[in-house]
Amino acid sequence: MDKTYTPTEIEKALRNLMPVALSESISSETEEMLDQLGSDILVPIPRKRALSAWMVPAGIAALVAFLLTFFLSQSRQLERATVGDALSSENIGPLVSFLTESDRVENFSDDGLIVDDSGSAVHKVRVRVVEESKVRDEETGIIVQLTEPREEMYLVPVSTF
Amino acid sequence: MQSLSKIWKQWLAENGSRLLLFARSWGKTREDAEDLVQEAVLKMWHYQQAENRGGGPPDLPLMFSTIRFAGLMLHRTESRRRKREESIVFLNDFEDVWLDPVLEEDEEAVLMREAVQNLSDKLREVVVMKTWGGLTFAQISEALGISPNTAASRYRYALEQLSQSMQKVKEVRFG
Repeated sequence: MDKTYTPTEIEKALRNLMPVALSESISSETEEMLDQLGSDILVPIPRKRALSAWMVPAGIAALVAFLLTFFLSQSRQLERATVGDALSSENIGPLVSFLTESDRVENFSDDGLIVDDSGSAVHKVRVRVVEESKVRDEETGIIVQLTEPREEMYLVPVSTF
Repeated sequence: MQSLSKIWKQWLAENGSRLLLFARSWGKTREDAEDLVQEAVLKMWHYQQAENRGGGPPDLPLMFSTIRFAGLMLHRTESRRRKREESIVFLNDFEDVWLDPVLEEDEEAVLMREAVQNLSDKLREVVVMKTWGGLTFAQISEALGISPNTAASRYRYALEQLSQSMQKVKEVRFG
């Protein structure tokens, strides 16, 4: 069966999946945390307009509501979201903005064959990867490059010589 | 009047599942991912209480960005040797799925789920934010610190990979 999926078909198939929900335990725990943080902070509920306030031609009222919603959502999209802003609390730590991240393979070495007592052989390969991230300190403007080298080892089974 | 915590709880009920899906790329287990979501909620609560922010829940791009940063910190503090050892033990837990089919017995959806989970982290996070987060490429680029073109390219490449995965699986199963 030779079926090539178009991007539209893939997107449709993706929409036939839904994310699983948070577990009961973490939901309860988080809700409890939110209750402790803010159950005594009250905010006004948006008032429902009286029917008489909408006694204007229905088309004009709907158009006004649509335009307001459209422009509000556009202005929200223009807000610059930085992780640094998200961390602005004395309980959390310094203000940083996360800029870029990349992985770079620095070295690759072949460590040869390893044969165990049963005679099974694996080919041992070592790869050195350097993960680089750039973050900006929002208070000083200094950009810091975080570098984390790591070594990964792969054991590839060998079946023939 | 209603309590701020109630507003946040309603927001969490609506968005919790998509936040968890995004966090799965950063948490090795479901529990780790849920911890990341909770940590990000706490961070954002404090952030939103600042004078000019109103106190209510944040926009999704900022929330995704915060989860990502928390995930990065989690990666840096964990022992990488322990991760490698545990990755041998924690193979696919067939009960631990990230996505559920909308319709029961949708075999194609089940195959697609596996294909999504097998995407690389960089491609999958764009797909998650676009498909289930409902973000634009501009918003995704802000959250990930990449250009909108790169976000769009990763998304297109992810769709190509998913298409190839689905085709391969069907060839194996049906010949």
